[in-house]
Amino acid sequence: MMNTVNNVKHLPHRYSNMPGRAAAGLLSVLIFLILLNVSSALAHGVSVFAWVQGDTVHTQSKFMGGKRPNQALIEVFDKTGNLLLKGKTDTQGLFSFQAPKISDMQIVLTAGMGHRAVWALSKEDFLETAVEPENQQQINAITSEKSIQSDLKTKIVDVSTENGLSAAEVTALVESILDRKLKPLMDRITALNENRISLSDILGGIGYIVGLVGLAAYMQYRGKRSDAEK
Amino acid sequence: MVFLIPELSKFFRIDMHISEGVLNAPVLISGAALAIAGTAIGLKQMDYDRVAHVGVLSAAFFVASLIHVNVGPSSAHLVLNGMLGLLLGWTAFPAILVALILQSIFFQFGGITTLGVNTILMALPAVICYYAFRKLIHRSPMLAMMGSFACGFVSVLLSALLLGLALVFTEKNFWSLSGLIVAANLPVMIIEGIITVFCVAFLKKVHPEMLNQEIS
Repeated sequence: MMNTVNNVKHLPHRYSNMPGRAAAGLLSVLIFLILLNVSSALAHGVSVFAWVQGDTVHTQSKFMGGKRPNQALIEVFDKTGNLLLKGKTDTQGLFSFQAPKISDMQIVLTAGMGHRAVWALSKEDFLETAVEPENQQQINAITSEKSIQSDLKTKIVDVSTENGLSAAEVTALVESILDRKLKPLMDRITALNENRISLSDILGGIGYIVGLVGLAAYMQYRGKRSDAEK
Repeated sequence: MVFLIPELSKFFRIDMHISEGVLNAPVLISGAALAIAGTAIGLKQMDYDRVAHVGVLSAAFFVASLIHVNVGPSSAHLVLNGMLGLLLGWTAFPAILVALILQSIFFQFGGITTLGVNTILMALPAVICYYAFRKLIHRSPMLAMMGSFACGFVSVLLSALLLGLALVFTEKNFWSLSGLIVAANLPVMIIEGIITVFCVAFLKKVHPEMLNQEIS
């Protein structure tokens, strides 16, 4: 190893920088390739996102960059870690299930080959959407907690008695319209939820490495100086 | 290779990085222990006058994982571990470890608990290829070319097999799994072989000392 160091020192000056330049050239070619091909370059890792419609939970899984995991395993666990149910994603990376109970749940995606992602769904995600008549009692209990919501509820009841519609029917109607209106928004949130890799991430990482090199060079320099002073 | 056909009909992506929560504790712990040992040897053998080279190669490794090679339904990313091994020897361990830490923080590739296993997956083949091919690249031009191609090729192949080995505890069939990983990484192996040929030829011309690193 010392031999190598000596060789470097005996080289003519114009050569001594060459490997550094070669390596820096390789690095810039790699960065250039990434910038050239950003969409597929960002393809890495996997994410899962879940939202509630009525009593159905929809999940969407994606590889970074947009490809969808097909036939990947989705497992749903409750708060205490018991397996509630499991299923497989379709070709679009989608999987939907009827919530067996309203509680906090963990949705775990295993896309094989060491890919795994988790989405936590909280109890609150269900509350606004549970509208089945048999859940009415539960809804009453929930809405009575919040005065605004109970106001709204009495209004709904008023309207419904005038038009001859039951409260449940009106709620179901509002639900379906809201679901339709919110769908694009949900899709957008799903897209935002993807962990995109930005240029600043790449440059930040390289910056860290440069900083570490600087640190090591500084330590080395200090060591040499204290040797020289002795 | 017949068993691969149903698997190949759908899209699959193979990364050399294992995510958090996939492996069990014994695999994680032994991976971490081996990675610590390798990194210690690497740091001990590191020539601090050449720390800038280590840094630049570490940065190259850091960005190479972002480049995916898509062939048919499969997708895998560049690793460059053969190149790192050939130029750095055991120092490839700390170089790869640093890059993996940053990748897990910035890109969510792999994870902190799987850091040890992922380091072994990529750095161990680098060191093996260093010992296997460092002599060959100084022979006749033809042999040197074959040696450097094999270095880039074999390092990715070994990483793919190690990945299969690490995952065998969680997935069912080692041979079909490893076959799938190797198949997806085949284009990467060829590309890295070619990259290594060009890099070695270039370095031999402008700075042969860089390829002469001996273990002191």
